[in-house]
Amino acid sequence: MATVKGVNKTLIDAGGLSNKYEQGYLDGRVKCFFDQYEVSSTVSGTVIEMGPELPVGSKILEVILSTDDIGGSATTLAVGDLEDTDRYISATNHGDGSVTTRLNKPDGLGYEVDMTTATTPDNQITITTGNSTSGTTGTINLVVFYTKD
Amino acid sequence: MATVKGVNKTKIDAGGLANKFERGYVDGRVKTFFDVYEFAGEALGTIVEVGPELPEGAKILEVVLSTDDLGNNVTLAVGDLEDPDRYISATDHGGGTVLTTRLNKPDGLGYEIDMTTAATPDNQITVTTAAAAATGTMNILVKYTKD
Repeated sequence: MATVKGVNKTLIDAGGLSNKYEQGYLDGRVKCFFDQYEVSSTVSGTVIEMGPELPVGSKILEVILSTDDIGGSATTLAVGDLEDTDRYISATNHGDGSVTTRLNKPDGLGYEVDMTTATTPDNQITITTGNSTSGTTGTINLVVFYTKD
Repeated sequence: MATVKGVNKTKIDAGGLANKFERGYVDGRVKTFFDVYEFAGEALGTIVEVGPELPEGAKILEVVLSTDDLGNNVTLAVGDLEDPDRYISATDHGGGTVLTTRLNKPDGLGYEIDMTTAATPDNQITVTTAAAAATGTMNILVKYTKD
């Protein structure tokens, strides 16, 4: 058995709290947004923009997607942004019963909005539908926790 | 393929951030409460009130319920005095193992406390037991926003 340290913990131990590498990654104030969309015969590949454009430097802490059974023969939903459609939640079946999914992509946890590519902004959170979506109906609720200090 | 917008996103694009439909739903400050209860054989149907009475307008963001094995396949549901399973449907927390469950009801995510019926206040979070008696420790964490 061994004891090792995370990147942030290593920096703190070396130089104190002021040695932390990014504001917001430590002692950060948590903010949130909520948005809702009513699905109605939404076709596969639909991109649903949710919430505000987040400020550059925002770090994503958690994403919760809770929906009715939206039908449509195993319709999938993925949560990401306009740069990476499933940065936060991989495509998950929300069409066979009411489902709640949460952030499940390692690269999404703690992701910092950087806006490196203006044509595909990562500051706009999106939900993308997939699989067969004919006949979809129901409510999509989304909460995003983030920090920006 | 099409691009559409959530209710909130639609309003923001139409009128800027000031056009958001509810304070706390955008750029909201997250608050929490934690509570713990030690079950000692309470009968099924017990209602455990946890945490403070939340202010009207509070919006629920997440509920985390983590317990010992409470025994006898006892189920726990999390809601309030208006809807006992608004946030977490009845789940077996007595099946032989410790268990952590989280908000799993779509209508609970983002639910706003409204106190429409005084006799059954929705500002008091509750945990309701069913199926059997419970023994062991229950921890609960609620995240909400109220700006």
